[in-house]
Amino acid sequence: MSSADRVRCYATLTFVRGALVSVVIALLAGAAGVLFYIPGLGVRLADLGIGFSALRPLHTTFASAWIFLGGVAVVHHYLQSHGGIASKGDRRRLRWQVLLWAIAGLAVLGTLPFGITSGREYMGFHPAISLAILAGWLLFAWNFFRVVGPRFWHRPVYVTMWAVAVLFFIYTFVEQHLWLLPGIFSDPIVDLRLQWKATGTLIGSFNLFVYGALYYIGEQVSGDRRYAHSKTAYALLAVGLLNSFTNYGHHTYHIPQSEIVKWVSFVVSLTESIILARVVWDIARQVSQRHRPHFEVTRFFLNSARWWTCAMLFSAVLISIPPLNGLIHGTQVVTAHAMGTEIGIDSMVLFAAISWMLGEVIARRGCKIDVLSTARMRWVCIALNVFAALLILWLHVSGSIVGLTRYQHLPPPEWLRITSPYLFAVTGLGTALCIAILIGSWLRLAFRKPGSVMPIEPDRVPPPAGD
Amino acid sequence: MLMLVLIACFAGQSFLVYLDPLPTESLSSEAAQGRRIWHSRNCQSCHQFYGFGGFLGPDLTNGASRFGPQRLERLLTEGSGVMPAFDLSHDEAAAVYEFLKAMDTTGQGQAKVELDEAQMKSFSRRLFAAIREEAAQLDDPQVTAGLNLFAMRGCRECHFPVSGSLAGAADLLSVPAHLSRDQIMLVLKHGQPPLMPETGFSHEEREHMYAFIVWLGRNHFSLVERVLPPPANGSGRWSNVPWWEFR
Repeated sequence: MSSADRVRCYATLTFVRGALVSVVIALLAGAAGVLFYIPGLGVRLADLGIGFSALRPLHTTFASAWIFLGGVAVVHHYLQSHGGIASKGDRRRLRWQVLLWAIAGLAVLGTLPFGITSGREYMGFHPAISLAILAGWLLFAWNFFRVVGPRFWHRPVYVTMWAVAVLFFIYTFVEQHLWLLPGIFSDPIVDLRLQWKATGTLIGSFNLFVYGALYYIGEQVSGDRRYAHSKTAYALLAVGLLNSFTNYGHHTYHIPQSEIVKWVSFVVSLTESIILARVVWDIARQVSQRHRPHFEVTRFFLNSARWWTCAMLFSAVLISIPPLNGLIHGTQVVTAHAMGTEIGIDSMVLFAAISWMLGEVIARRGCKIDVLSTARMRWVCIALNVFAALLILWLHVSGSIVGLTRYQHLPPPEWLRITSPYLFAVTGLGTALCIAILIGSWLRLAFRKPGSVMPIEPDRVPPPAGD
Repeated sequence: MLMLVLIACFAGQSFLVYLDPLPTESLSSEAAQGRRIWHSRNCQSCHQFYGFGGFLGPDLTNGASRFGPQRLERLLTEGSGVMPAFDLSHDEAAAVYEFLKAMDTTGQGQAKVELDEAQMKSFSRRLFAAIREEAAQLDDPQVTAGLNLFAMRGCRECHFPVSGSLAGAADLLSVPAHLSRDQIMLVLKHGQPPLMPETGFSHEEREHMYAFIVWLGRNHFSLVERVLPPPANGSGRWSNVPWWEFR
């Protein structure tokens, strides 16, 4: 393998490592944050100097970083086979990209716990750190477009998705910082309108990365290239983009804003559901038709993502209906929606992608034992889905009850007040633990030096007969 | 062509948001200072405006309607439950209050059914009557003793109505949900100057008061439900859930 190819392979592995480290930090911060909901425990944690105001932005920042870095890793995997030899400029930009993002990550870790924050949702870190993130992104964009070229829409749909996501991110990331302008800062309602437009479209941007990864991995695993060029795929791209532009509106139904923005959001949000569910279903069906042992974890997560997509789309369509939205607005249903999509859809797709890419890494190193698809891992994956489903279900239930009673000027029922923190903690920590076990095993693989001996897993799943 | 259409849609949506003709108001310089403090202390990690933010604390869109500047200053400088104490001066706390007042004028942050206005005026009196009735039926001498202390020793002057006090006193119905036993007993012993004086309660009296407050918290839902006025204008509770802004 040429040195340039090694560079692109190394880039993929670097971003896989970055993504895995990010999700570990997000898990730790989230797990500690959950403990604040348990009566009495939060005060004790605060006395120890662990502040919720630091934990929450740490969790949201690194959860977003996990999705972006995972998506970038998949893009780099594509560039391995389509990017040719990495030029000197490519290598230099890549080095700076990694360095800038590493500095940004360390800066976030070094500032948030000490109360140096922007005080904003999702962009909780100091705005100076954004410069490093944006600069690294521009370098990534340069390297990406150098390969795919300006006419990226002639390529498979996942390339178009990534290209749009790269450009979209630049625009919306800048938009996220409009609050720094004095005129915007001094008008909180205008700021809220812009903030939620920008946040919604930022999420749209990373969703495009994930959907692109879904198509790409699905194509690689199934060997079927037709889907990525199909009309359905492009219909999803169009509808998905439309939703990215407008769907944030279901967060802003109730702030002072012209109704046309809200109507557009409501109508468009109803269209995404059918197409997206169909696509994920199709891809999972394609993948399940090929049985190869080292794809088992990949196949499991793609199938999981299918079911989660259907469930979360059902929830999303419901909460996009304005009167229902009004009732659950500002309750844990919103958390359920955010976490359900980030864990159930985005993370499941990225787990599939990363397990597949790590499988390639293992094969490249000439290791004989497949440590990804063991019986133990299968149970961890199943437990992850169970805990996550219970968590999201509980958040929906508790948030709905809070919203319904609040509407009637009533407090939440006493039984809910007593049980909710513990159910939230148990299901949340259970989910975090399962992800931690999964990620822990992948981290060991991702950071293992080439040539080192892989351990024999006694509970390894044997390959299907005839494969 | 598809890309051009999509770009046009994005541009159109963006301009709709950027050039929204619905009027808004800029913050005064003091309120803007309050907003800067809000950001620097990352209040939004626990609190919300219009449902945006963390869920550990309450939505504060209309917080200035529920408490006055003195109560806010106390909360900010001494904390409450999991809410930490902040090192803020009197002027800084006042600035935060100005910011909350400005947000309060922008709209309603949460959907709530409009209740019969006439009956709302007597809500607090009827709530207290319900508390008396329920406590009298209890076979719990500590709760009864606590209720008598509450009524006879002046607590009623500020904590009545128990929720939405004009004096800015804490809502005793929800206190047990936010404060630990130690925190409640501390207040029962020392008060919270300058608003709440030292109570002068003996140890036994503090135990009675604590039992009463815990009982209030446990029965918060049933007490309020019992005396809640009907919806306004004879409308159904669910028939008027708003589509867009709540007010």
